[in-house]
Amino acid sequence: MISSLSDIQELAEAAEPVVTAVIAPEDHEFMLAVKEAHERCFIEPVLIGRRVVIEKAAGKIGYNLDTTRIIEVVDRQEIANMALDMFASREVEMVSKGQISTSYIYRAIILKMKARKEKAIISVQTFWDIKGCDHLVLLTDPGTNISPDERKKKAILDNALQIMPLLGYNCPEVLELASDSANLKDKQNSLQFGQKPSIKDNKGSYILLEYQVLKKLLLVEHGHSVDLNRLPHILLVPDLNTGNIIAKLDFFIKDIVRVTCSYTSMGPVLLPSRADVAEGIMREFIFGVALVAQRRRLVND
Amino acid sequence: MIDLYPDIQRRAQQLKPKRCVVSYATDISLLQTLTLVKDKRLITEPLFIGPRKLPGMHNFREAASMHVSAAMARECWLQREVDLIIQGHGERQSFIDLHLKGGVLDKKAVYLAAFYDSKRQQTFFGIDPLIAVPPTLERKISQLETVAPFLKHIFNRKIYAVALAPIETVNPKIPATVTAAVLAQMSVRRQFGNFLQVTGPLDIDCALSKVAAGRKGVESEKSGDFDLYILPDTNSSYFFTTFLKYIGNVPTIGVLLSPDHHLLLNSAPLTISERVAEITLGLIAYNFYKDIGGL
Repeated sequence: MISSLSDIQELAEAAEPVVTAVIAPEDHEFMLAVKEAHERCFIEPVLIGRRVVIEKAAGKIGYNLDTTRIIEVVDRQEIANMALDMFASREVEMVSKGQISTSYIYRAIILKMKARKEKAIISVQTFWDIKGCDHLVLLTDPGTNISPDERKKKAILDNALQIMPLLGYNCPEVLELASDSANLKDKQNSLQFGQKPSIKDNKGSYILLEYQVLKKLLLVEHGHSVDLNRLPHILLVPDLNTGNIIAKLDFFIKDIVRVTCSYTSMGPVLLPSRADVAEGIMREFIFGVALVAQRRRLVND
Repeated sequence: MIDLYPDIQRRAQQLKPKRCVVSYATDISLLQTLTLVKDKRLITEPLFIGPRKLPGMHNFREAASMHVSAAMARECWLQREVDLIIQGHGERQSFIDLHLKGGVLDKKAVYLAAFYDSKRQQTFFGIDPLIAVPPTLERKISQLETVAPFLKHIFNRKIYAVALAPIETVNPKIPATVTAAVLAQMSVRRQFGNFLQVTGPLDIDCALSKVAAGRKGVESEKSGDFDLYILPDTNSSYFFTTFLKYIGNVPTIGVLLSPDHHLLLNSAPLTISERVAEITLGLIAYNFYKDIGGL
């Protein structure tokens, strides 16, 4: 089981470079991360966007693009669509967002999924590496579904369950978050709606924990201390408001390190925040490379 | 002795001792805390209501259950025997229901959570992680009308609030962005008075970091330094508070402000320092709203 981002980095360092479409790496911080990831042989970048702006950003940090493929596309949506086209055709193994609004990426993924006649819904997975916790924690969906109903929550969970085995979590514990415990089972947007407390689904691929207040789950020694190892592997957030706010609490809680992607049937689409600086974006590249490496291994097996 | 929440401590220096009752007191650590608060001359000898008298409970009345204990505490308050009710043990929602008229919260009732950022040595507040009501604009306005004057009293200066939303642009499909934009515009027009400035919508990274806001092209001079976080709804507020407290280890206390009366709920686990600060916050609230004639 991959228990930390250090483990992720080891996987990535052992992997062959991953051909990566980078969507609009048009600013200093993104370009710094691309340069470092390229120089450290994590990725083989294909840069898509406005050539002049990309070259200007590269020039500022002394990144020589002579041997780097650049695809000139001006329209923001077309940039994202181009990357997803290359992803679907396996010309690239991974896609990363640059300094561009995530909505373009989501639209491009949805368009491509429709073209591929996939019924899955798009969702975002944010992983936390928390100091004091012996495993990674996945929060989903902090990015796309505004107020998911039961059907969408199942789809969001399915997406999460695609990525977890790649990290060695073959039967993860899942906790559906809600502030209102008393009514959770009666709410139609709950996974537990109309059901008895679920222990395992029929495939045995995950354990859906019976609803409980998170603090009660974490507190030990009669409430005197917190055991972060008791955090479930997957926290299913109730809605976009909650997911988006808690997923980025690493801006306040320094003991959390965050990586975010939207895992699709084609592979990972990395979603660094436009607010992230080079260090965080680099971390996303490493995370994505590790995922691709695990996918390759599974295919070979 | 206690370094947490200096703004709250500073404001408490002007308080005269108040009378408090602990409803369903079963916890010896609460007794220790109240002794500290009494030593600071913030309260007189507290009244304890509970199933059995513990050593140090000089002023004690017996009550077999939490329900009876809460009813007795409320009666003490109604008879003006005490100024502030503190919850001892027991389930929180039942306690609230027993103390507020018919269990129905007035629309101006708001739970105010207070956090302490030890790195920046800064107190900040959040609403509302506890009271599950539809997050309407009307409700948000009422909450701000309750909370803003109180925070101005605590900080003794203009208050800077942020209305959080998942994105920093207004999107009609995401109601939190619309509400945040309206609150911000209302503050521009000084509809909350000239002592409250609301910025929004901002997503959490822009609210917490000036660098992040700059990267997203959002101009927000108070990023990373807001006094008050207005969360979109109960879920987001509850988990904002829960994650800060239990994963971020951020000291977290709170008080339920209500037109009926203010309640100090059992928000355990709290350290003694946090509990002292929480009781102090409740006393400041009592004093403030009494002086202005209620909410």
